[in-house]
Amino acid sequence: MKDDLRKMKRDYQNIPIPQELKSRMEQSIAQAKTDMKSLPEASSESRHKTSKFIKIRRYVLGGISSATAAILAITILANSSAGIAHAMEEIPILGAIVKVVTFREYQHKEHQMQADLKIPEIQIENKEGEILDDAAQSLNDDVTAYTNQIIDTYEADVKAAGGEGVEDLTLDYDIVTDNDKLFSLRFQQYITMADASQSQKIYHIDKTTGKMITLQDLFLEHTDYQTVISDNIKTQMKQQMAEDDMKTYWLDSDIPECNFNEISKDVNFYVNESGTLTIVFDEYQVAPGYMGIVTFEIPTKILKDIVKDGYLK
Amino acid sequence: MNPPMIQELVEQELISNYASMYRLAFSYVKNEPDAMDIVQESAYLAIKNASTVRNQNYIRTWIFRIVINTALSALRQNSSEISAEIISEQGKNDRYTDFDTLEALNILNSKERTIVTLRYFEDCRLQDIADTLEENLSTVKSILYRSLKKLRVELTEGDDCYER
Repeated sequence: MKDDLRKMKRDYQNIPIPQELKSRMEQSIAQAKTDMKSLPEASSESRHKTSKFIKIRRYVLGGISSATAAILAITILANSSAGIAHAMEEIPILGAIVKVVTFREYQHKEHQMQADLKIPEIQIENKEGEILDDAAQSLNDDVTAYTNQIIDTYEADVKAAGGEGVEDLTLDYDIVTDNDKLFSLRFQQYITMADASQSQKIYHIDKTTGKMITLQDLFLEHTDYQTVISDNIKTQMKQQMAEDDMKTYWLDSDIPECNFNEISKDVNFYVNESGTLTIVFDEYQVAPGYMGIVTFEIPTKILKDIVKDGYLK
Repeated sequence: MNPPMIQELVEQELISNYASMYRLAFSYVKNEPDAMDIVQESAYLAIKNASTVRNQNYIRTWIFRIVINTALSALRQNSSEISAEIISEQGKNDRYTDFDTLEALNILNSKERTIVTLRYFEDCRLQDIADTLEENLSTVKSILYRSLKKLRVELTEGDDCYER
């Protein structure tokens, strides 16, 4: 029965979503806002009339609105690239200086499939201004491997679809942490196919050594940081679910294989502005899709005995 | 909460849930143009009535309730067309070949189908479903239990058929 339900769920989620649905919904929202201004006390009768009006509008406006959307997308794209380029120029810090020196773009559009990826390249200098190629190399290589994999998947989709597919892929990045000790580069991936999904990948440079680090490098050797963090996350999940009915995490759920058990060694994380370790889970990793990407702040006080100096506050 | 802010939140929920709203609508009317109209109309109603939302945590289920109500009233309004559709549906099975497991849902009545859909396909919590349908929790639980029983019978019969 569980298998049947899962199969049904898959089929349900494969109900194709018409391409123009989103723009038509946006029209309805705009229409509602306009009507509220002009008819603040709309009776149910006039409301009914207006909703019929929407139905007619759709045939007239369908084509026009998608053209507008395309132009808008191009404008926003150009602007946002410039904005990013500006923000990336340089970040003054005490130890090594990590900067994003260039970024490549991968862009593709064919029928209803499009991709837009921004791929940064970083450079690391020590205090004396010498460029540390080795350190930057390992991060840049990892980034390239990560983005190539995304591009390969997309290109395979394009090929498989043979011009009939609908997919919209975006990859963008930002610097989520940049303090005396750490520099962390976050990638955000959005894919819209039948359904939309979102995922993140975060890379870290220890600025005192110029080396790439992962979660376990934050902790002293032979400490069971995974259990300490996982237990805290479980407590937070339970607490959030008890306080708020809208929240669901897979913890003691109907489907045991989905349940959150322990964080993996390569779990995404960053250190937030107040110096707190923040664990990031992608959509569907620990919760149903509607919860989106979820994050948990791990109180520094429970980690103070196992964490190396300087990373957390 | 002030009205412009809640309207903003409703708008965000609409934009991020339009696909779910469409599927839910489609599961009632089973055709694209009507499902799209229902989504549009529901979005319109949600924005207009945003000020009636008391608890911002329930916006998503509140929107689902609007979709369901809109779908049901569309079905009522077109009741003459529905009887015609039922007849044509038997000759139109091809259309659903990709979703044949979903055909099993047809043995459920609309409330049962809604509960199964929200619980298993949209991952809603039982309490949220109860709020959406304005039923109490134990009623929803028992309807869900009954629906799963019906589905199990339907699906097992299907298996027998395939296995000969």
